[in-house]
Amino acid sequence: MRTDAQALYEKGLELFQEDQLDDAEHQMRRAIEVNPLYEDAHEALGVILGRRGRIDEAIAVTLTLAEINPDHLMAHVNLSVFYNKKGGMIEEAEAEQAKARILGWREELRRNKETGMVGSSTTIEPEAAGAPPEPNAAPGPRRETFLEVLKIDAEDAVANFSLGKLYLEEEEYEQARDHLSTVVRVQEDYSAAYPLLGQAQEALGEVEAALVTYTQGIAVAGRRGDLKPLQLMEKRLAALNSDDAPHSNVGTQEETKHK
Amino acid sequence: MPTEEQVVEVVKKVFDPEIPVNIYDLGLIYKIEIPDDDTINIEMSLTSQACPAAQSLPEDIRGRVVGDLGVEAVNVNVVWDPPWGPHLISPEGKKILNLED
Repeated sequence: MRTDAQALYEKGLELFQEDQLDDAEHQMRRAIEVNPLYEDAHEALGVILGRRGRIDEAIAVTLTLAEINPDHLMAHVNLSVFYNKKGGMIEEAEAEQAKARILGWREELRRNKETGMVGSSTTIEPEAAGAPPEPNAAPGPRRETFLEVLKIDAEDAVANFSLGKLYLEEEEYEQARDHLSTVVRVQEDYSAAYPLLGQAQEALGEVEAALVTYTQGIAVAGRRGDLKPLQLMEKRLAALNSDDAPHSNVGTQEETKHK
Repeated sequence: MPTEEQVVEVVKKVFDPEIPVNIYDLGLIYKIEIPDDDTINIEMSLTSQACPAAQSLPEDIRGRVVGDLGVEAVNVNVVWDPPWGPHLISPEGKKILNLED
């Protein structure tokens, strides 16, 4: 039986999908007024605020969600993204990402136990804030969620970043490169995207493109004070610029004895 | 000649960033081979190919093993088959991470 809060939430979801963000936000806030512990509405409101560029408010709402349910996986995923977007909060972003990873592992182990499977062909690492949760949605991979977001907005930076990362993990380097290229094109200051784009380009043998990506990414990360991606890219740039830098598949580091 | 147990003890000092469990108990070390006194071969994986530690963890392990055991050649090979999953985390690791067993 649908409650008033659920009805408001579902209306807000419809409005979000129609890109009526002002009205969608209003519906989500009303849903939360009716049920202050409504997790899905908090998550959705955070996503909407993030989409509207009101990052501090998005963080505040999502922190409330994490207080309501500390084990809410998407709360930590979204906080990681929001901290990255805000800039200069790389440690906080990484801490939230780590929490999300661990919660993802817990879900995977629970699924394995339910299905009797041991091991998994892919480790699901849910990433950025994509679409708000569908009501009564079954847990599962987020790829479909991000693809749905792109049907609404093909240039959504967060969904493109998440998909780019998923494709990179699965060695689908062309798709990874395309999605991550979209991210840096539509949101130049998305510093986390540059090292991953560079990895995809290197894997495709597009070394010159990777050099450009790392150079641009270093400037962006330096400006924003995002030390982790900055350090990663500086290391890759140095490796590519050295005379005997291997141009092999990123992710497999077959080491040999030093000369 | 170092023993596998000695290598394991050294590897247990290396951590995936932000995760409070060492990489051995995370199940990331697949194989340790000691073919002679001066060589150690380690086969490992990572929790994700896009993991930021992909670049630094193998180097961290190599440096630690070279430094602690005085071995000249330490080869660290990252593999993706079989894919890592949380089922590989040790019981101690699962306890620390509060994961159900």
